[in-house]
Amino acid sequence: MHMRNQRGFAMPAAIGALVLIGVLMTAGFYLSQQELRIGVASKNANMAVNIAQAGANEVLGNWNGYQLGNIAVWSDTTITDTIANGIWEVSIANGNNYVYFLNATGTVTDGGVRWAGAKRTIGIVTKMIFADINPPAALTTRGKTEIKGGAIVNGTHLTPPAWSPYCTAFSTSDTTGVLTNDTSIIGTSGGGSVAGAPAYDQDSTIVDSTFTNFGDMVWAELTALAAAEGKDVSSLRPTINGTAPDTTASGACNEATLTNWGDTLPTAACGAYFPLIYANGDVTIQSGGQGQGILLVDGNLDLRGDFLFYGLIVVQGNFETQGSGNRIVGAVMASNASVDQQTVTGTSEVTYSRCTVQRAILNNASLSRARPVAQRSWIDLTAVAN
Amino acid sequence: MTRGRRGFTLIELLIVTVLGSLVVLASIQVLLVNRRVYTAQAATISGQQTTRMGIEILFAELREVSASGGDILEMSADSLRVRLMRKFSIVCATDFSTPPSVTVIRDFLLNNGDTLYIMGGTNRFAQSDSVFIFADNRENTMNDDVWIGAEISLVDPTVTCPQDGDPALKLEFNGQGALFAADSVGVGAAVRSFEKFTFGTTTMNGDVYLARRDTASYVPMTGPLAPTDGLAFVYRDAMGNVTNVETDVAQIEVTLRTGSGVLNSLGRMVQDSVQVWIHTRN
Repeated sequence: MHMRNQRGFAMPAAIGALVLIGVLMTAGFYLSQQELRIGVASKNANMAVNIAQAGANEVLGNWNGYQLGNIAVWSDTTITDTIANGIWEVSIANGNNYVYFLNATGTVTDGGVRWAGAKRTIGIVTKMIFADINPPAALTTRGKTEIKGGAIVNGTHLTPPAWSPYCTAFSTSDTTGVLTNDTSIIGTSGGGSVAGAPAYDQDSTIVDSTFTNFGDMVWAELTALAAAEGKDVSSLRPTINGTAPDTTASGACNEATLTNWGDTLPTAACGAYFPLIYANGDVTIQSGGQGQGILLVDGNLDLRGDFLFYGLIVVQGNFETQGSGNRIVGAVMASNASVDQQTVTGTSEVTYSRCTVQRAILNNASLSRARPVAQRSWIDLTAVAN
Repeated sequence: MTRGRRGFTLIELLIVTVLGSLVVLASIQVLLVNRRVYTAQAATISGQQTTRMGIEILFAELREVSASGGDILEMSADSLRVRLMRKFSIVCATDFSTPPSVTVIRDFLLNNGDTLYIMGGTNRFAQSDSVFIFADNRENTMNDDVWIGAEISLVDPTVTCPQDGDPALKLEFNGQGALFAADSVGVGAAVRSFEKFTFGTTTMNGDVYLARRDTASYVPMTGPLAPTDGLAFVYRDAMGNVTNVETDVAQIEVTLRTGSGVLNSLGRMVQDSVQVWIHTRN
């Protein structure tokens, strides 16, 4: 028997219902996916800000005066690191040697190809806080001081060769050549000379504390910081020969070497290394050599020739030079507490430089720190730039 | 010959009709449930999006507020008037003759090849912008640092920075020389512009929205919120204690609640709420 096709509507109705249900479920899944994407994007955007903040905090918390202090004015350097959920990149721009601008970008790498990539940038305006050390003259001292031979003490400001890019923000004013408690006991003979604005000056307030108290810091704190830095060179006394920059096998500055007192050439490996150096008694430096930073001597200092130093030398005893080629660019403060006769002789030269002294302070991690400026240091640069 | 043709019997038709009706009724029931669930879910998602967007707006706007710098102008439990930081740049030259001016960089080309777009797009300083300029004063202390408030009287976009010749903007402050007389603004100083806004709620077509206004009427930003307690602020100091002193605020606790007329499968109103503590960065 042949049966004709018999059509009902139950099946089409059921299929239609299934299609509708399927469409609704698909729409639900789509909405859920969209919601998930929005949620993850929102979370990652915040995470990127936090990664950028982590980078900025890392740079600020471990402010490396040696490295960052050597950024020329109106220039910058960039530090990058990878952390748990992403990568931060912090560019540090030097505004004027005292104010720096940190530009920190955080990028989320968490979540693989699908979810990673959120990026946010923040800015932090920072300011250097540093030890208040202001030598008032090329040579500040007490007692009878003889400048003779070919020696010269000069208060006329000098920016060392090759240092110009690093000195633009510092004062270039000239200062006193020799400042003492009694100018009547300053003598020149032979080819010795004193220059400056003025060449000599008298300050009756020069006392012991002039050579031990520097703003909020005292001598004991400075020497302790030098020891903490690993530059207590007392073990090398009484004679230190041939201080010179030293590098590791990889070419980095080897700060662990006791006779490495930095390199006066800014672009050299140790050019940004400005140590705080301490000797706990009389020191004779001979056989030439070079260095930069702040040299603290708890006794007499005798330079025997061809010693080049950029920065500040503070001597609790006498400051004497002899031989040829000694050259200090910065300032010398010699307490001469026993008021012995000091002799600066030979072809020695002490020339005032605010820049070398200030860089010795600002580039030293123990003596300076970068801090966000008050009230409006933090900037959402992602929002600002758009 | 009679061909074997048969129609449906009455019994068959009745059975098919009953079964078909049952299938249709079941399908309709499923559709109704689905629609109710879908509507409730959509309302939930909408509420979440509203709260998320609102919180993100408030978070982005309020985290740069400097309470100690006087940026909180008025504060209450349901509204907050603040100075919001907008544009930013760095001074590359100064001239304090008459009229006083500072030249600021547009964009900063970093040594790694990247450009720091600090004034990219359209977000550049303009005439009549209110700004704060950082005055460093003594270099080795923060105690005397100040932000000088001024208003830009003229912008010259044709200048360059002397350091590198990069494009810059010269911002003049005509008649405001006295502002710069006592403090030292130098190269490297930061400049920020600001606007004053009030965050609160407004009602539109019967719904309550998170809104913002300068001096004019509120402009809705996101919503709808719950009709009565959609937006709430609590102000806390650095120790987390509630404070009513504007300059002591270190954390702003924001609560956003959404409401809708939609009922969920349990017959309850679909609602959502988010509470965040915004720690001001400045």
